[in-house]
Amino acid sequence: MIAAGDRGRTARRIAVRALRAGTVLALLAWVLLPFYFLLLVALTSRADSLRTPPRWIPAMDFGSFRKILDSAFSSAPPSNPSDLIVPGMQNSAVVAVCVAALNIVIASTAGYAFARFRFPGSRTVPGLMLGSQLVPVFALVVPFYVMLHSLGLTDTRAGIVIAHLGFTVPFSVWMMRAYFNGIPVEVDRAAMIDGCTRWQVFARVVLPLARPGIISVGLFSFMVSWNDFLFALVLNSRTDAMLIQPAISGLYNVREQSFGIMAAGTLLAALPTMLLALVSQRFLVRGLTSGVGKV
Amino acid sequence: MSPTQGSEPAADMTTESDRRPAQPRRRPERSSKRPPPTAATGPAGRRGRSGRTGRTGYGRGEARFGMAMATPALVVTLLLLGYPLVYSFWVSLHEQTLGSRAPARWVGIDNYTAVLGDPVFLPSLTRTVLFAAAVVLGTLLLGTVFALALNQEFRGRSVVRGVLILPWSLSQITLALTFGWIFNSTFGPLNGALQQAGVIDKYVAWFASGRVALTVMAVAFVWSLVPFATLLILGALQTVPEDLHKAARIDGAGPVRRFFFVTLPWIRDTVLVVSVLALINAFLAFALIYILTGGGPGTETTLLSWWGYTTAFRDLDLGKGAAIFYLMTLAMVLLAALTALVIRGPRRNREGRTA
Repeated sequence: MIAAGDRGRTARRIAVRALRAGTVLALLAWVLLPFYFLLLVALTSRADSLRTPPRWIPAMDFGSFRKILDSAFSSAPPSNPSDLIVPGMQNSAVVAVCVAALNIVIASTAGYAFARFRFPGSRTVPGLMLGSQLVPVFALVVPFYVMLHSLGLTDTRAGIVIAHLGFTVPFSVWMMRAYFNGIPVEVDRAAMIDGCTRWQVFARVVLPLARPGIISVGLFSFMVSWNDFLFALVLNSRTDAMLIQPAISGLYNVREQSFGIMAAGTLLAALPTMLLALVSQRFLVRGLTSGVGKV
Repeated sequence: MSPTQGSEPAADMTTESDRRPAQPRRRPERSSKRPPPTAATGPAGRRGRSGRTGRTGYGRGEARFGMAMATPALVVTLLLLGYPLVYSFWVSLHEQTLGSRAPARWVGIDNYTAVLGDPVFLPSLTRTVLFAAAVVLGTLLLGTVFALALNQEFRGRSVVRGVLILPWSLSQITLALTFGWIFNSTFGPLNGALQQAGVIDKYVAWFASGRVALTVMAVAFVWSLVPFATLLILGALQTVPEDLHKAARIDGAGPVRRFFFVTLPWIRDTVLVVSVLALINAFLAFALIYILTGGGPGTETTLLSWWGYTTAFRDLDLGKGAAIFYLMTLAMVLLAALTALVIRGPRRNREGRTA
């Protein structure tokens, strides 16, 4: 009797472990398979990519990547959609770095203010800023087009930086405030007693402590800016100011049907955000949960 | 415009939808509602902290310093978020053509009635809601299953957790191109694999039928959202006290009942966050349609976001486009409030009874 019960329990334990291992494997397959399919065709020659059924092992043909990267060194004007990828990445890098830097400056000062001081609106405004995440960015596209057009800023990278600030800054402020809330006020007071001015307390004492929050805000706004498609599409019609997302969107349905180029371009365009996310996922997850987790 | 008026957005969202049915009970309910969110934020909740801020005894000068520090963010928000929102509401009340020099003409709510009366409206609203519901449910379900599997120690767990962030970091265009290729009707790997496995005889044209195309797009969305949802839910699972499970086990509750009566109530707030995030993302599904279907065949994959975009920027009817976006926002806020009500409802009722 007892032995049978034991055996049943062991069998159940094995079943549970098998189930868990299966689920984890399913999760890995779920996450990685699409990347594998993309890499597969990116590393396949054009002729091979049109085979049915497809090859399942990459052919290690770097022709597609080479074709995209070669355009970076040619001075000829872009003639194919694939020639726009490298310039698009350069433009997006400039825009996204500006957006991230401005977000860090604006959000860390405001986040500190909302975490530490009482003034009219200091308690309601942060909630409104988080709530603004519910506003679909589409509602902003028309006004931004009109505003930037009248300022002569459409078709410029500066115009897109301005537009991206509108929907990244509020959330960044919310995130920074959450970080400063986690730093005890005693730190500020001790620094004040040591003779720091208000500004010195912030810039020299508290801000260095909030470095994880600053990194989160920078990463988050960089990624939002890099990944934005709608504003990059609507606010810019010049090819030499084209950002990366519109650039790779042109790779789909191209007449030559070069799936290798499409996949290689997609992977290249995704590389910066993927690398950033991998390297700094600690900051991202903690930052975003501290921001959203308190909803 | 924004649905959140107070510092506790989720709580206010539920208030808003409560308001009409429970008008007479509004005041007592409100006061009884304040505590739960604070309790939910844990021992280091906001209430304790603002109290501490008060005790520091900052004077008038300090308030001025705070305002100065907050000014750049306020200016950016008002100028680049508040003003555009108000402006686009103004546009939605006018007849205006993109690119024309003619001044906007006041038409009142004509744009809204035109949208509501448009034969495209109701089907695309229904599609959007169904699409969003599928994305939210799929994300929650898979995210919870995966998070439960990851909630135990095993070798290589940190590696698995590490790759989870990858899909989340992709843009919608990347997502569209990736899934467009996987589901490609002539050369896509999915068709190839299914045919080799003997599941299908002929390659399937996934984007030829609206319903199938929308399902594919929902799958793509769920794919990109599930890993992040898993990370959020996993984080919440790790805060569930061991004692609660022990007590439930002693009371004779099996793993399934322990999950539904111990774990799930404990992680309820995270489930709400995941749901609302998935909901917002699903409503903003635009790049996928742009790349994969263009809203077709016919209007079979036209979601509200796509309809608004084409109305404003292809038909150049700015007023009607803005009206669509406003109605879309309204639908999204209502759905978010409904989600909050469904997920938080039971607990609030219990507290209402004791109060």
